[in-house]
Amino acid sequence: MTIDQLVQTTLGGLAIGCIYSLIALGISMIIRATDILHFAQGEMLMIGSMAGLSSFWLQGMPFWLVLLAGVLGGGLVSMLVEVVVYRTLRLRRVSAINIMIATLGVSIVLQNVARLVWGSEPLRYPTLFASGGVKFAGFTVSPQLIWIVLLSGLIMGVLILFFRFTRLGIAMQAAAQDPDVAQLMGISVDRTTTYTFAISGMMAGAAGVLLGSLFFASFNMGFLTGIKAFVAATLGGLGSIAGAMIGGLIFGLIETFSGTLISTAYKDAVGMVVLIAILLFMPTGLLTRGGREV
Amino acid sequence: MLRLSNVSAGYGAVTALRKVDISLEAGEVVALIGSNGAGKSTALRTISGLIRPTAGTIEFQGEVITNLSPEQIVARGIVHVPEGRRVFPRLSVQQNLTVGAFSPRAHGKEKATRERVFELFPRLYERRRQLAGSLSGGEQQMLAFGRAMMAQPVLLMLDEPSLGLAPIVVEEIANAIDYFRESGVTILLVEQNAELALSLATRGYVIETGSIVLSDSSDRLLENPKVWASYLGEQEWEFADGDPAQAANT
Repeated sequence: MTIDQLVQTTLGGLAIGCIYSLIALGISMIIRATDILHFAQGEMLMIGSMAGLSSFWLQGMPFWLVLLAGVLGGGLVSMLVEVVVYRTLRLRRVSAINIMIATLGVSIVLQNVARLVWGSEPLRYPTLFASGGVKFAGFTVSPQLIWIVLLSGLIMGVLILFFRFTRLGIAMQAAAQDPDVAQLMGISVDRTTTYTFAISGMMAGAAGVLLGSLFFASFNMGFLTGIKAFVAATLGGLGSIAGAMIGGLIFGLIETFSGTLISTAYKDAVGMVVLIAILLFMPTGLLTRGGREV
Repeated sequence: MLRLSNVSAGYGAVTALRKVDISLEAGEVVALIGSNGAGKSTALRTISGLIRPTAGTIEFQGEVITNLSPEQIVARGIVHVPEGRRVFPRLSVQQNLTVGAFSPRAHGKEKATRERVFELFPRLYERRRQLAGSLSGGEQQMLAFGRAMMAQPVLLMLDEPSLGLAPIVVEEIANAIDYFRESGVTILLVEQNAELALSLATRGYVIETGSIVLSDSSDRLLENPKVWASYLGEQEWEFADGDPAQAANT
């Protein structure tokens, strides 16, 4: 492997890792707030990707509006399934494990709805970034990858500031840590849970536009990506925000390097071997969490 | 200002409160004493809306609040400090205070109240950036009080504030309760430590297996031999051999 290849592979791994991080963050936030593993998180990515693409078809919108459409699409659908499906189940005191099975159902339903609306063929994403290579520290690299890393970093930075400094962000953490007491402080836990799903969906939607711009958009693009994001979240420590970010990056690098060094055909298998290895040797992940929280 | 009439409540099939009548006048400090499991906490949880009563009505400042949600009840100025302090462990001291001021009635006064909290509990100011989970038990109780102050209470309900704390800290708690009383807050104090509760309150209710069995002024309750036998002597046994159940049998 030459130095140039090393740089290219690292950047590619970081870019795909950022996309995993964005989805893994949502998985972790939801698990902290509700103790539910959200299997339909990958479908929010797919919906975001499709919403972005449709907005481009309709109006030929500039890139940042396509991204915004993806964010809104993912956020809205995520919020909708929370309010219509998961909240109803919680109010009926359905156990967490059964709600998780319902999330799997939501995943399958959304895939099939998407197949009806957007068809079963992979859809080509428009070139959203300048296509020529840019010089970066003496290497020619794809501007697309740089953009993905920068935008994902920006989104995650905003999320951290939101949780640390805004009243709503702090209230959401409080509601996840101790829902009863949060209610006594005047916080509606139903509402903060809905916001948690909305924000998770928005991040997955952004990831969907970024991932679509790298490859294609298709109705089933979220399934495997969602599972990989789950592996990333487990790697970082399920339920940890920092862990989800780091886990996504590490997983993206492992996958991309194994694709380059071994074979792209085994790329997905390597990811699952990583999952089994984590669960065997490091069941709590890199960063562990102490109890429920956002 | 607060009136519970004929209130019953429970968890599923278990009835924890039976036809309870309690009333508080504005500015009063009233104690609710009883042994473990008598229904004290359930009474507070029912008033603050965490549990829906199965029968009876709760009125606050002339308005029926029986079926309001906890947020709506907090918005009317009823603030409940739960048993065991229950600060948010992974939020900083300052963030905990921010959560306390979440209710719209408290937003505008957030900054001024925070300064008052830090004046009253300088220890919290020193540790304002620390995670609440890393504080000592006494400091967490101060934070729980500070968080309640942030909510601008009209009626403050305290559940076992002295539980598991050192005597020195208990004194600070008494000071904090005095502070609330002097600023005109009505207080409903639940305690297993009946002596402490009755020394702070002017009146008291005694609750046993979900029903109010006695209601009188604190002085008279302190002299009542039945109260003395059930709730005041107990303290000595606990200190004597740590097993009140056994001590009670001998």
